[in-house]
Amino acid sequence: MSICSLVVYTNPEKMEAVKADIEKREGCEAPAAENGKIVVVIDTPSRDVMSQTIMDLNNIPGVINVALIYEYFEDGGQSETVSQKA
Amino acid sequence: MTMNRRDFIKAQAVAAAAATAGISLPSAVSAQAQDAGMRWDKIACRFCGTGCSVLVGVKDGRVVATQGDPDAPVNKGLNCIKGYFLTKIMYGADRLTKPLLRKKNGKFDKNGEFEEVSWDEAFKIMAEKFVEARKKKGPKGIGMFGSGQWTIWEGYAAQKLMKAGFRSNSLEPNARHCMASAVGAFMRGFGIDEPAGCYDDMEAADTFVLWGSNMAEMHPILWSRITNTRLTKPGAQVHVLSTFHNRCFELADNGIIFKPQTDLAIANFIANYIIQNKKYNKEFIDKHVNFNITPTDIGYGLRADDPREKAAKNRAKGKLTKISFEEYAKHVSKYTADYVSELSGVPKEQLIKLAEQYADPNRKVASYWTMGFNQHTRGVWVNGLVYNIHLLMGKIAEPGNSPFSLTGQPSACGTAREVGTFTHRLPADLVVKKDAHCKFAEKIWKLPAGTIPRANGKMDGKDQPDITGKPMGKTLIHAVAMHRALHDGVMNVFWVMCNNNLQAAANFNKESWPGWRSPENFIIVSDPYPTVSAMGADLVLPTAMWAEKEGAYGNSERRTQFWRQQVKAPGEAKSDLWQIVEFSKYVKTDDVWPAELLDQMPEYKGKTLYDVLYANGQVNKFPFEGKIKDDRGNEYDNDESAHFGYYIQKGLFEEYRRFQWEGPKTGHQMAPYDEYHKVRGLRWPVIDGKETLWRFRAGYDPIVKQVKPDAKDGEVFFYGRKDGRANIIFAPYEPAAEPPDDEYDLWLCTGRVLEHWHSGSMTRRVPELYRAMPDAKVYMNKKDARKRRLRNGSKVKVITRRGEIVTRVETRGRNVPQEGLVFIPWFDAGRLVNKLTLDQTDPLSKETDYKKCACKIVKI
Repeated sequence: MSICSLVVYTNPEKMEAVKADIEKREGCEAPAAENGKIVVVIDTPSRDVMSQTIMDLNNIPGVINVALIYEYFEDGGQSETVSQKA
Repeated sequence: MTMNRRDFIKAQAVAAAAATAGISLPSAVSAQAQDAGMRWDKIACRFCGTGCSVLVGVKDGRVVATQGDPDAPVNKGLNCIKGYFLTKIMYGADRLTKPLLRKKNGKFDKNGEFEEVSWDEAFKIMAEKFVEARKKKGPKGIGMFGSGQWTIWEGYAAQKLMKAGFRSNSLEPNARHCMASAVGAFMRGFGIDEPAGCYDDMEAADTFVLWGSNMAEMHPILWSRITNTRLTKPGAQVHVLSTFHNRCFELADNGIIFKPQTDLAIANFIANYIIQNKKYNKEFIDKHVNFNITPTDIGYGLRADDPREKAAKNRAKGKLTKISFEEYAKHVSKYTADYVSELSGVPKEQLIKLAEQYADPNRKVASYWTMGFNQHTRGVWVNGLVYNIHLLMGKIAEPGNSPFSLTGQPSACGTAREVGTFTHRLPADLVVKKDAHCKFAEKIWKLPAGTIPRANGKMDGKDQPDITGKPMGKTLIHAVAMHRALHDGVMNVFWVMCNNNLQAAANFNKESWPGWRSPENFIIVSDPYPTVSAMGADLVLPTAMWAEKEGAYGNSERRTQFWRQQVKAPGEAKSDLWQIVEFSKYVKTDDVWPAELLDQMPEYKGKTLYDVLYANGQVNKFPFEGKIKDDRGNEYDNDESAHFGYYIQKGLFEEYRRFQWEGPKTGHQMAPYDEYHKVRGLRWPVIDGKETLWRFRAGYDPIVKQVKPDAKDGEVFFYGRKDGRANIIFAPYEPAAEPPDDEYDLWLCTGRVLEHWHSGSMTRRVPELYRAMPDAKVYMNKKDARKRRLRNGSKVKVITRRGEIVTRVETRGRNVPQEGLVFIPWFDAGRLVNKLTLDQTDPLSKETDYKKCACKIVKI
């Protein structure tokens, strides 16, 4: 299991186009976007695919910066549950 | 409530990103995971000088999760793309795990193959070589080349080993190639090192000016802070100056491409513009500034027999002469918009647009620079020329008004500069040129007076005795001179630690390589990986990486940050600290100190350097209880303290702190050791537990009222200088050492790219980064390519007077050079760009200029 989240900084006029481009990519979701900033979460089976995806995001026209926020990488884990503190 | 683990982690990842970006989510998950068996802790990033904090989650002795630290004021939860790979750098397939010595028939042989040896055998041969060279060749016979990536205590331990133990000032950091010009300008301008401002200026300024810094690729987190301000603050502007079009230009309101070396003229133009338009802050300059001029025609730091050095009238001279404001105004009056536009190739309107930002008293301006300014044969000058502009306007030492030198390494400031691991320095801005400073260090270190070699080899006007039986003589030797000394047989033993100097140093073919492989020289390299330097060495020592030891770094904004050991190093790899201190057990005082010195303290006779330097009742005074505990009840290893039997990092730091609190130079004070494990770093000076954001201004900096009790809040006092005044220093435009000519018709500029950090010894071992940027190409303007009948992807030879490399042309990449200039990054061990570069330095700072030499390009 390999999950990460990022904030992608874009030129505000190009934000929607960049967001659409990101959402087309394997394992990528963009649950929120505002003022040129897009929240992206990537969920892929392999860390290598994820790394490549992040590198590719850098090269989308209109992207000013890509900042990684959170990353989790572990084999398996799908069946486990964790309790969540309210 | 329970939820699917994957969904939970995803929700948490999204929540962290949204919080960091300041975006609210409809159903935000705001909890921290309660994951059984996972230990979370903070650690400073291993790469650039920004000093981001990262949270790492360790499970079963391995790092399994990372998060940008939301509590870190530097990065506020963000990580850059290299930060993503941070933990992967420890797990390259070719990690070194055993010491390796070149051998033939069971014995050391310079031409032998590497064989695994024990640490004991490695240290025995090192000690033999060190002692022999020290006795035979004097203080310059041995050398150590350390790093702005050393932890604070590693630098401090190395300094004690070399300057006190071996009595040699042949200690330099790779920061000489990186920050020395910045230091030179701080000392000349302000009498104290490091910036007045801090990163908080990135939200407080109205205008940002990048002078020779590709921040978007090299300091991405700081760039995202500036991006945020530019996109959200009405009227904010970004001005970018470079010799080639780079990613920063995406955000630029004024993108300026100038001809190499003409930054000197552009800065003087701005000063002239301010004076001609009577915009300068008269009250500020009357009270807080002295005007000076520096000697000109100072050469290029080449070997003395180079014709350019012979022709220089004031070779390496830097003594300032005071002048009046009127004289200063006259000197800069030559730099009119017409003249500078012609010289630099920058349209007049763009120059004026830039100058107006500085000249407008109502706009707060922050200036940033890195290697474009520092790696410059006039680096100290050009750093100073930007201070001139800020000082003329009084735009300094307050929120948003900030001339700011950025660093490229995580502890160029914290270790190289603050501990002073340079040939001429001691901790806390002390220098070996001053007898009193050396005596103070000897007192703190409990050593006989005269142990530390003075710059001129004299104490109280008398020659210092030496183990060679001859007078000590002159003892200073800078980084580039070390390679020349190895080449010439003056230095015979060289220990390179925590850097890749064979790949990094200029003029590989004619200077570094012949010196390293000379039969009479013994080269030791400590590294986690078989780098170009390791492969060029005679003895390779396998080294623990940063998360495998307890450490501390100091970033660009004076912030000192600590971390605990997170995981264990593989095999027999050991930290730099362990290597330095353990090696000191193999050398006795009698081997390297003359009888005259030992007679002063006979109790040190027959003792090892370890006994004298580290088991001195200070460094070894804090007990180690077998584990390090944090205040949440987590436990951590500390392999060095377990080995030596005391909390060695704490002992070294607390001894170092005495230089800050008891020494002759004020303004460097840090907090007690344990405090730093509790906080996300503190910016020095730390007085009464409080950090200092802006220096030299009463109200922000408590030192001002200590040295000037009648100072009112808001009053500026540059206490690094006795009269409290900063220096404006006029320096003119002078041409570069090797401009293009008919045969070598292009400028060659070297540098970095987003994917790789410096020589690539860590980042090239991350498969994704390697794939994203496998080889160093030559970035070229399309017109230049067409003229040579080349196209994107053409295979070419790049040739200079010193060597050649084969690579491919890139005309469509993210870097687009101006006509007449090509850019090649230096990360690629397979294409050593330093076979091409010239070993030219700033004659004042001794820092190499990697940005300007002449080359030609031919198709193959």
